[in-house]
Amino acid sequence: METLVQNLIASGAFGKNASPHMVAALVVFIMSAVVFLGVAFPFAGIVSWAERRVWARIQSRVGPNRVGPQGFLQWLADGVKHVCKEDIIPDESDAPLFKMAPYLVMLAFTLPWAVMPFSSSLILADLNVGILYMTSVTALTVVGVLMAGWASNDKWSLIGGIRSAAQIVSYEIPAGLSIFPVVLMTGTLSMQGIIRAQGWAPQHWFLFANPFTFVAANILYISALAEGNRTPFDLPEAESELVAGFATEYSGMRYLFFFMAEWGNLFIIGAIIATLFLGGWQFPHVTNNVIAMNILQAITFNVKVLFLVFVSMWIRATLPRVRIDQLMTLCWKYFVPISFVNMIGTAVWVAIWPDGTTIMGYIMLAAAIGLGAVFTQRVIYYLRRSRMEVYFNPTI
Amino acid sequence: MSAVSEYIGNIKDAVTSIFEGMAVTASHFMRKPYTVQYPDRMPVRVQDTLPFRYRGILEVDLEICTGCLACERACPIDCIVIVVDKDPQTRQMLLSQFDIDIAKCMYCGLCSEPCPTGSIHHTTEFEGADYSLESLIRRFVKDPVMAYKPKKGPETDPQIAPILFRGLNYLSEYQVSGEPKPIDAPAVAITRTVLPPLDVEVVAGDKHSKIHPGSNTTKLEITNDESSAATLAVASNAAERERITDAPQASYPLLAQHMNVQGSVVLQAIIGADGIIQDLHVLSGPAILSSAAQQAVRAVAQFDVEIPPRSATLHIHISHAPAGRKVRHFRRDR
Repeated sequence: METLVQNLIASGAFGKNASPHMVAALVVFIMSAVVFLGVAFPFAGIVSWAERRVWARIQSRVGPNRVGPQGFLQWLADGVKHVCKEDIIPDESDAPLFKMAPYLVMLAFTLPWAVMPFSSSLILADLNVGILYMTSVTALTVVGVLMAGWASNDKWSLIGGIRSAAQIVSYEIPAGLSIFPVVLMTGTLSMQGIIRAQGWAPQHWFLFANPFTFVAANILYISALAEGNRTPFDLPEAESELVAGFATEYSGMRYLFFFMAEWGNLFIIGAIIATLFLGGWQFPHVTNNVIAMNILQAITFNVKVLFLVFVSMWIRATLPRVRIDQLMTLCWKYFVPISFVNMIGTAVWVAIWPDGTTIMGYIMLAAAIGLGAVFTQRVIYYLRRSRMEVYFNPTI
Repeated sequence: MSAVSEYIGNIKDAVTSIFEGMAVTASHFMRKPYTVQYPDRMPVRVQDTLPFRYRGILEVDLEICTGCLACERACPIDCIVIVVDKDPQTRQMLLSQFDIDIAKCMYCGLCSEPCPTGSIHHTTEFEGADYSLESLIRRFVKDPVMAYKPKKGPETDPQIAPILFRGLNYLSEYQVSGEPKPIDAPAVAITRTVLPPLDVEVVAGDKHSKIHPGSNTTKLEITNDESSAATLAVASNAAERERITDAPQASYPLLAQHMNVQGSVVLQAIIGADGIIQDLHVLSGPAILSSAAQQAVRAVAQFDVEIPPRSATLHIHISHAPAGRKVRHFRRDR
């Protein structure tokens, strides 16, 4: 960063008396703009399309396939439609707060990208408190959602906002406790540090480091889904009971912001899990070319994240919405105690084997493969029972 | 202790049920969607797949309209307006107006029933959306035309004859044939080869007859519940083969194929002493496949059978095996 700024000043593009701070700020702005406009926002849009296609196939439907090739441009059409719509602000609402709420939700979606570890060098800022920063800024969503619920001056919105606040605050605890095992094993909070402590091979991932981290990874994923208001935890916007929850009174672009943040958060959820438990961008050292290595690492990272995004779509198409008491029971009676057990178990494990055990990685990996085999067998059983032909072609 | 076991049991239930549920949805993810992408991404027009008697938008063949006004009188909502004049010079009936208001029509079919020539009839067309109510009034008479006068003998005019044939055929579908009483129902098993893609398999009781593609034999087995199986007629000579080739081949219904529908149709058949199926009707099965199943049975069921007329229940299994495409088919586990 510093060398880049110095090189830019030396090139004379900004005049002789250019302030290094101003140039650095400009560079940060441009990089942020590229990340948000080039990665985050299109990702959120494309996920909205991909999700609809995935649900559709699971429900034996086709899904959007008319706008562009295979309906790929559907997200663009939807986005343009929302931007062109009238932005209605209800008379009885608290207008400044009402206007501000979507931006806060958007802020909570954009801030985590600062520490997104795409590859060994492709990271905006490798903070030494990276994962802590990530979890704390994503929790900002609750402020925006609660603000939207309150400022709408609408009972549906208020109930939705309060539900969301209760849900996010509750699930922060198991999510935070599930990050601790990894921090205990690595001794660092930096995203890059955590990834570097793992290897490219699955048996060196923290997911398979010991039984406690495996459970912790699952709890963290489910908690992250709950924090992102994803089905089966989408109570704040339960359309059958709350119209659209906190977004009831919103229209046009502000409404779009809420949902863009929701879809974009899928990437952040996936990125947290991939970084902590799935070895992040780790890729075998195949070439000395730094750029090629970085590209391979970025592809690895994105494949892992996209797989987790797909799993969340799959879960959304599978599970029904839970009730609010079930939601709280799951969090406080199951996840929180189990997370504590995980944390203590990992602490004991690290005390016994400070450098970890290689054999455990293989045992856990074998168990996971066995689980996958059982799962595949069940899928084949259901396919056979249906007497339908197998059809893998994604285009129709 | 029970609280702990309940706690553990809850976790186990949650994990196993989610595991099982995810397996179910994953299996659905690998199936072909049922959606028929009406109207533009269809292999055939839906109108062409509908049965002959489908009650779509009404149409009038003016060439065979006698101007009897039976339809106008039959219409319960008066959506048909006909004006018939008598030409003072030639003393012939002149149709000067024949309007049907499609916006009012409720497709009851009461107008086509009394028509003596089948002139007014339903079509399989159903796409009637329009921008104004005015344009939904179908005006069939542009210039006044002469009403049709039925001839004593058969129709000789080569232009009118096919239209009249079609109209009378339409009407004849109303004629309900006298249904012979079913005798005690023995199960009938038919094994036959058909041209792909239609695949007919007949099941009698717990006995499944296997089809061997490539062989040109037709075999009819009639099994009584009490007695042992007796093969009554095996026709594998050249003449029989030729006859089967000539028989109208049933083809897989295109819409059903597109929608991936396959299944069993159960038919009740009355087989006469001459071995020809006299009456055939559907007992159960997917409606979309029933006409194909009937065609398939009619195509094969002409036999030299030395038995008295009897009723038989035929189970026709229609499965979808298009030629030239490899189908990966999982069989049901028994």
